[in-house]
Amino acid sequence: MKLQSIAIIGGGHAGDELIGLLREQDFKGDITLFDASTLGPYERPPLSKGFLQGDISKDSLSTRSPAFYDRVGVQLRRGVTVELVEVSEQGVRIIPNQGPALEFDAVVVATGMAPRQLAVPGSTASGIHYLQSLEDAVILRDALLDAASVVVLGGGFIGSESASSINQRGLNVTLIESGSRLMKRAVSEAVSHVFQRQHEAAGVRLMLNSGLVSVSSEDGRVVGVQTIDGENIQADLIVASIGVRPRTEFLDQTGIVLQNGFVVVDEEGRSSHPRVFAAGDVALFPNPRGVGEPTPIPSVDNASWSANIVVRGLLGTSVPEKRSAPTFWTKQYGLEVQIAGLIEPRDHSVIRGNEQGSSFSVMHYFSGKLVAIEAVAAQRDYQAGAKAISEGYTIPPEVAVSSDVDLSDLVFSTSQGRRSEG
Amino acid sequence: MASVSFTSPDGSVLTLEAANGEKLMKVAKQNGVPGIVGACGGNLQCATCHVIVPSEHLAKLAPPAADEQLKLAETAYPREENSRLSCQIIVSDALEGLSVVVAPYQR
Repeated sequence: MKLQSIAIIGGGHAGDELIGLLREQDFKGDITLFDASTLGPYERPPLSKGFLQGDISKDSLSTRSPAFYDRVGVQLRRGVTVELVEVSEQGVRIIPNQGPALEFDAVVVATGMAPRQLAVPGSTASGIHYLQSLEDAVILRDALLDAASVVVLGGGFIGSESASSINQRGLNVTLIESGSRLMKRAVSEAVSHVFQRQHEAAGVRLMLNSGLVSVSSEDGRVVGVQTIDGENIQADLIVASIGVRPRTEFLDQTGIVLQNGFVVVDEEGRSSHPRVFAAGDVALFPNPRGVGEPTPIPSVDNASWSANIVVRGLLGTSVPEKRSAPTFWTKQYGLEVQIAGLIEPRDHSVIRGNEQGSSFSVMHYFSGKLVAIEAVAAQRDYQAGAKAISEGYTIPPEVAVSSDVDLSDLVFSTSQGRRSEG
Repeated sequence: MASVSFTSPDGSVLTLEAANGEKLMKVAKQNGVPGIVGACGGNLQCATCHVIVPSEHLAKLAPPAADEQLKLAETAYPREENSRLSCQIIVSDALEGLSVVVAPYQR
């Protein structure tokens, strides 16, 4: 299929990356980008970290210069939302909320995630914030200037990072999480615990296994919350980070296979319709471990990787390369955990170093094979683990726990050795 | 301000005017230098902004810090003696005329 025109829906990390990659791979046809935001591409990870804390300016988050778009040649439709997509054997028709419907040979869906809205009684009060886009972050950061007490709802990465950033601004923070520990779906117990200790040491009040009954307000403005434990907590504003859902409603009528709203795609990023691809957070690729259910991978690293794969799928340029381990990271109170590989509950894990301290690693094994590492302030372990996982080399658990062995020396001497043999 | 040239794996050469204080990786990304990935946004997490600095240009740069050295061991394209991560190169007048070669692949 020789493509003359490609539409990209969504201008985040994945969508914007696609523009440059298509041109790098010598695609000479028309590229049109539909982006609901008018702020252009920007770095998303700092929004809940340095930007919220006040260390980073809005302008410094920008990831492209105007000259780039002029040079590569692309139709930019910013501030435009796609309302409907119609697919046929001949092409894809896009119906935006403004301007005429347009026809393309292929489309890439890279619309990312929308925050789940708080729905308890009182949730219509003003002062309830979400943190997903730069628009959200700017509004929240301004609102913090007039606030003294903040309730953060949800202790995933975004909630936990937000609580840290807001605490570091000197505000009084209560972090309420429904689960038994922070970042439960993304990290193992030891890692949750070290970050929980950081929150508590900094003066954040942590309420686990808790949740809201209602939001109370005066004159339409938030003044506090009631928790299921029967407590009333005062708050000038609420940051709700209680989950996300894929922005794919415009595909509902197409018959394209979705799973919980995620676009199910093959190894080349192609959906159940040959002209429709997906990249970034909304794309549900086969499990990178080669076994198990497909799993969403919400990270910039994955956005960049999937954009690369989709370009190959679109242009048929070459087979997908071997995937390096997906990576994630978070930084709170200056403490960083770096993660490579996907962590699954059934994995066997061992801990390297002292988990009560503030530097250790958790190594995860499946069927005796190293599949993931979480490194808390342990740069050398992380690099060794990430490299080993990507290359399919296993550091045996009994070696991993030995403080006498430097994992970096071990892995890099092995892979160098292999390289020279090969 | 410094004028910096990037030679990409596809043979293209881009010469960019870079503002002082910016990370060289960011300048490259903002202008779409082919082959620079920079997946982590310059946080020394990913080693996908690998460039190689010709020997005659090395003197323009401060030597890599310890954490960059460590990260360089992780590049997909094996590091060369003059390899650098462009997110750790901060633009200054001293870089004027710098020319770097983007690593053949980043992941």
